[in-house]
Amino acid sequence: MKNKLKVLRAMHNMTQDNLAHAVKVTRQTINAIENEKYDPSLELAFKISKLFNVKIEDIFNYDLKL
Amino acid sequence: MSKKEQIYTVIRLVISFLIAAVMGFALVTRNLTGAVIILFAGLFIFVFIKRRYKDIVITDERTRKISEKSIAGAFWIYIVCIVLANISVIFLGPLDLEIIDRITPAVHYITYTFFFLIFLYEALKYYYMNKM
Repeated sequence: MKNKLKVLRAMHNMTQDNLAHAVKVTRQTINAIENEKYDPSLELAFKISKLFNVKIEDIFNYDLKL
Repeated sequence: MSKKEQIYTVIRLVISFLIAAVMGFALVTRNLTGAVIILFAGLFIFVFIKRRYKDIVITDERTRKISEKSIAGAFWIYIVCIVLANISVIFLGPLDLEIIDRITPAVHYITYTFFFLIFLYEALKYYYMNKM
């Protein structure tokens, strides 16, 4: 899943460690999400969107082909 | 990994190693009471350390998913190994080799554990199907 997490994190001047601590996951998880190796759960996606005060779809972009 | 996380990881590893070594020794010397005491003491120490370092996130949804995938992988590898072991015993049995006589009971025991594992899997699957 494509995402703008790295950009948003940079805009808020946060490190992976800071973000991980804020949403209570490991730094490795944030790194995996940024590198599109891991898709976060809905709960984690909501936590991140709430933290950055943006909509989920503004961070995560899932190309669903129906 | 922060300094605090590194310290926590090292403490956990050292304590796990010590508990395993002491428990192993207690079991080898057939001191079952000692082994149980050490096990509970170890659990108590882990709880104590966990409380002291409670702000450190060690497990999260990704690590749980990794764990689930690893368990599923290990389960299927175990099944394939048991099937291969049984096939070997069936096909090599008529050759009347000494080694086959020695490994056959072990293969049978492992096969019984396989059936027990399948039973547990199905029971838990049924439980979670109704729960989730």
